[in-house]
Amino acid sequence: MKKIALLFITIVSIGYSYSAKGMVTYKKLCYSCHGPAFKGAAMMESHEWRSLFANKATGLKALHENSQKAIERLNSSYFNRRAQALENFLINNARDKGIVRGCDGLNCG
Amino acid sequence: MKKILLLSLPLLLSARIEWLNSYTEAIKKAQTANRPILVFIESEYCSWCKKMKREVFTKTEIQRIINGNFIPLKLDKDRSSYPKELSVKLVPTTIFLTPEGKKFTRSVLGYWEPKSYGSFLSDAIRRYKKFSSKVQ
Repeated sequence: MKKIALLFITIVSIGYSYSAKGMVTYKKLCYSCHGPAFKGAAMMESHEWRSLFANKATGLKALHENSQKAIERLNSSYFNRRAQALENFLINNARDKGIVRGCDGLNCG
Repeated sequence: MKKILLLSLPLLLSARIEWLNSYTEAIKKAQTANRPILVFIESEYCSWCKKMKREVFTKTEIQRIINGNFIPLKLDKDRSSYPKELSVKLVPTTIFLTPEGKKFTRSVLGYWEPKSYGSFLSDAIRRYKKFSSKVQ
């Protein structure tokens, strides 16, 4: 029983740190221009984030081509190491995925 | 006198938001001022809308951004009259329109705390500048 509980805690904490890693990456690389993390993720839908990160984030780099600061960050080894975690965070909290704090006529979420 | 006016300018810009309630009036005003329209769509039963009015639109920074860059329009989802392009499924929703009444960027869905909402507003201002320079 103890072993199962320990395994469960380990899995949960690994999962948590995985999403936290993406958020930390966002804060380091994107926050200064795009604002708070969940707002930043809500700028795009999950399929748009997926296509921006495809082919080593070619789309994301093209989107930022006018900002030298952004391009430097997107070409950094830090971004390359953490791109997957950042992508996961953005997809999991995208415009169509995150919790919307509003009312739809039936209930207020 | 000039000094007094200059000193009171930030205060004037951060004064409470003077919401319009008529779509046609907002369009007219936006065209005269050449500013985009911020449409806040709410509903009577919506607790998140009330929270937004209480906690976001009362913040000086948000008031400064809205008063300085947009024509603010507040509509009731069920009672106000407005074009069907502005119909929404969820309240609160913030829509950004050109002075001609066209959407130029994505709307903001739901409640957001002041920092995030302010960032959405800055994005909309940036997008509008790009959009209007392309049109010209």
